[in-house]
Amino acid sequence: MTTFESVFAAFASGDGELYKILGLTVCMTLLSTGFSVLTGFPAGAVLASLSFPGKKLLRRIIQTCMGLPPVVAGLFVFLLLSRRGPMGSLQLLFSLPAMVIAQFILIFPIVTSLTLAAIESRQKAINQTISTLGLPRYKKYLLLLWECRGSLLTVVLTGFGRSLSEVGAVMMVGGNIQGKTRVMTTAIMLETSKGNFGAAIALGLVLLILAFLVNVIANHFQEAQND
Amino acid sequence: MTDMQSQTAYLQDFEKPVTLTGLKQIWRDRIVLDVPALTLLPGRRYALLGANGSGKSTLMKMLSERLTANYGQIGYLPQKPYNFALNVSHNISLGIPQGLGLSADEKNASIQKQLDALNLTELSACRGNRLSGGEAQKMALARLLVIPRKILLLDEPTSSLDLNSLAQAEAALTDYLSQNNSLLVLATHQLSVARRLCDEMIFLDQGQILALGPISGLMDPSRNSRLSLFLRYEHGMNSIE
Repeated sequence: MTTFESVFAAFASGDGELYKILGLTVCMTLLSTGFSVLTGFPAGAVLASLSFPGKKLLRRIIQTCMGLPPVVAGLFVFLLLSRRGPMGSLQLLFSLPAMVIAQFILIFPIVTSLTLAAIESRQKAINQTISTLGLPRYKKYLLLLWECRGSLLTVVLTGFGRSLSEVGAVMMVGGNIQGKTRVMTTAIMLETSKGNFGAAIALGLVLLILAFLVNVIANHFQEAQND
Repeated sequence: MTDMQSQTAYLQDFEKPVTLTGLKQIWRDRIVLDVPALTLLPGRRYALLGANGSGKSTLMKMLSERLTANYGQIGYLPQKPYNFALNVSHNISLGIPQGLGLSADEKNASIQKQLDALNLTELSACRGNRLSGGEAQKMALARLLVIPRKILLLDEPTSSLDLNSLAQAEAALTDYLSQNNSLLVLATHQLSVARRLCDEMIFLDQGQILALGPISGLMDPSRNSRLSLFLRYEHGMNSIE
């Protein structure tokens, strides 16, 4: 893979390395976005519904973490997972789980904060009716999430986009090891550093096409829901 | 406890008169509601009358909070009920508390009964958020009537209904109230509906109850002067006198 054309030729010929990079990228992105959604949706819904001392401060902290520099998240996970770190015995550094953990730290605050905002904007209208129904608490949260599903899809796509485009943290904790932790963004960095700008641009295009396809599929489901 | 017993227990908690005191709300230094005490009798049907801004919805909301705190879940229909983006049958099923212990067949039968009573059967598969104002109002009413309740608080439940739907809703409510002997508080602008469904009236003006008594007293020549003014301006009732 040294030129623009060679990247697409490699795709067309079923180049194993390229498909492995693509597969790992998709796998890492889905896992980190999935974990963030599974925890961020309930966290945002609960935060939106509850009033407690320190809620404003907690909200500011989560919002601040939305802008957490990837290298800081990467450094944190690196120290956590390095051989002398508190979780060093797990030997996860320079592996897919390490990359997913780093990305989770970046995406969870985004998903939580945006979910909180999405639910808060609609919960006043919904809550008056929900509170009259005598539903168990978990059902109230499920209904709230269901009614905000349009906004929440945007939250998922935002998290997915952040995960797909992230490079600093996955480079630090993944190490860009060929066949093991190399993903699209770290491959682009590698090609750029080698001066293979055509290949880097082509990989970038593939990444964009991937993001476009995910958005098309997500919007298709959203439109089907609205019909 | 069998299902029927649990339903009956659900109904029978409220058998004595209840007096609520200190119903007061201040908003931006203005008293929007000031009702020192209000006694409600079980099985009676109260029409809550008053002009816009008189505090009807505030009183209804406060009643729902206080009565829920004292008697558990009651049937409260807010002025603008939310219609969930679920189908109509599912929306109605949300009104059936899990603790009631009804089987799936019993739930479906209760839902179907309301769909039939309010002429919603053809819409049962439609999404609640796609209904017209009148259809949504009937669905929200069906959500309350799907189980027997000891107390019903309805805030303008028929304001968007056409004549046919109004007749269906009134018939469904009349049947329900006679079957369950429930307490009804009905806040409405529709005096004709209030006179058909209720036997007592509460007249609220600027947050205060100025008249409380049999709804037949509306025609009493010695009635409260503010009530006379309300009836003259809101309902053009000079000629009826």
